[in-house]
Amino acid sequence: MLPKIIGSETEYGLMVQNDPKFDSIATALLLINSYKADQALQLLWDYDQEEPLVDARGFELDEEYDVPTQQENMAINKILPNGARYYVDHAHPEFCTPECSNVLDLIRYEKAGERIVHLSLRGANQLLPPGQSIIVYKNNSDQKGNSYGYHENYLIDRRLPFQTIVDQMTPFLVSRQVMCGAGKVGAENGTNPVDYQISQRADFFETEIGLDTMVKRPIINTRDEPHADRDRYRRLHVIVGDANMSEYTTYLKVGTTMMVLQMVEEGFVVEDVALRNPVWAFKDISHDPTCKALVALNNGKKLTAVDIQRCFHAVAQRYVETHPDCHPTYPALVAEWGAVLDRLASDPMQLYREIDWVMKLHLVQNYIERRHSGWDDPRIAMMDLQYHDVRPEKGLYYLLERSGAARRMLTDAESIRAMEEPPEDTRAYFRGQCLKKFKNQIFGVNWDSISLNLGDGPIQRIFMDEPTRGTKKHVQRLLDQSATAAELVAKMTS
Amino acid sequence: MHMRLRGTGQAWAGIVTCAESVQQQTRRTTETPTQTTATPARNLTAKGDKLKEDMDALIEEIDEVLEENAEEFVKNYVQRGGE
Repeated sequence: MLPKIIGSETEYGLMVQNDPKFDSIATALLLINSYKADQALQLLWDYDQEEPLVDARGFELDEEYDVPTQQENMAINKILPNGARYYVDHAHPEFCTPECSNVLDLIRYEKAGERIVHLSLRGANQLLPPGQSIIVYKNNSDQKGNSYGYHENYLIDRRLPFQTIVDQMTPFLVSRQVMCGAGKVGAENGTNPVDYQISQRADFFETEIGLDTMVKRPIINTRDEPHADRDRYRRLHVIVGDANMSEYTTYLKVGTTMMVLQMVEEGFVVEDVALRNPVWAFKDISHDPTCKALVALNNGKKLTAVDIQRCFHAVAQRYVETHPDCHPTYPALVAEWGAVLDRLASDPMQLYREIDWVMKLHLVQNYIERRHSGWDDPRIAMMDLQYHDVRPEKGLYYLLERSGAARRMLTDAESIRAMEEPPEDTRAYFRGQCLKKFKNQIFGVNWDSISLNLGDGPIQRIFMDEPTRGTKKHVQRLLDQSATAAELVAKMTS
Repeated sequence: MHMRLRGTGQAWAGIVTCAESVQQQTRRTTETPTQTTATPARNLTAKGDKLKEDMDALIEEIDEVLEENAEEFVKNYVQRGGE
């Protein structure tokens, strides 16, 4: 049984108030470079080992892949001492968490990312002309036909056949949105009009399986770029999810997905739950906030998303009952998952403290009622956006949190700490501690390597293709005993 | 599509968080019969009123922080180039 390492990438949405010549790339660059600008290290993201065009179905796309110049590279990429990557991806600031061994850490680092983005914003605003200010959203839609991603990554056993992943994860991912959608006012991209829907991303998914992430988005993304020992591991790159503000929602979203992948790896699969048309099902489920929409299975049955989730939940329950030594987070996850499914089946609005799409809908409905407003009121579209504002004094999610109206999974102290400290139980520890300790001797970084400039001689690259090694337990003594990067390398090669 | 929030008087029955629900389910198996009497009606209305007040306050706060000129603001927000 291989350990499950996870991580998420959040593309943030960006705008500048009162700037008629707003340039998203320039602003994203300014934002990234405004985080602790005085302490920023000049190092490169190592694109050498990136292979984004390799497809899990067994081929490689013959396309050009742009790699930035060294100078661009240093401006675009920041690698942070907590092991995270903070960079400009196309026109977006993007925050990638360090590798985590469990869902609670994942939530911590995502929340640390929000804080980092907020601090960057405050720093960058000081450099803008008076009257202009940057606004950043942790969401997935601009209501103008554009969507940007929240991507999850799960390390899985390469021996698990890719077709099994497709068969199990398609119905799971299509239906899980009832537990973790971020909610959205209106519909787009040619789908049927609706006042409100569950998922920000559903309207933008057009195929079942594919390599692309920007057009004709697929439910199962076949990118095969493990950033790890490719003989042992696959990295499942999940692009269907919404970015969530609620900690509890992230807990359900990532926790259940991680658990389902683990149980499937070990042969605990759900039988006969294949959908007749996953793309339609994805949209139909999203467009019904009462969670009663029925979708067709290949076997002729029609089930709701909750019913489909219950199939996975039942298997997960069997899995934890027969594996007393399973991941310690799993038993509680199974219990929470089951309770949430019960609530969704009886009345989803009961989850108005727990699930983002319900929290947002609850706010909007109450606003409409008290202000004699309606779904066409621009203030409602504004609320849809402002729910995701990363400024604590403006973001509607943070408003709920401050009022005690949001169920928490963390303390603020934990997410603040995660801004500086890497996880202790993955290779992110080695990366983060090297960055802190050897600062200007770091030449370049990637997920699975660090390159050191020792002064004399060539750049030394340390390969880290095992995500479960490089932990505090593995490397603390080595780090403590090495005052310089040269000593570190000497000790590692002796 | 029109969705109504349940009337606040009835809302109490539904407003139980998941963990509380899980805890309640475990508690019920060990509680003695005398402990499971229903909450008196006046407590239900008091709770309902409090929830309504809390929501009133939240809506007031939203009006204070919501971006002005919502229509123009939303129109101006465009974010291309996303994965």
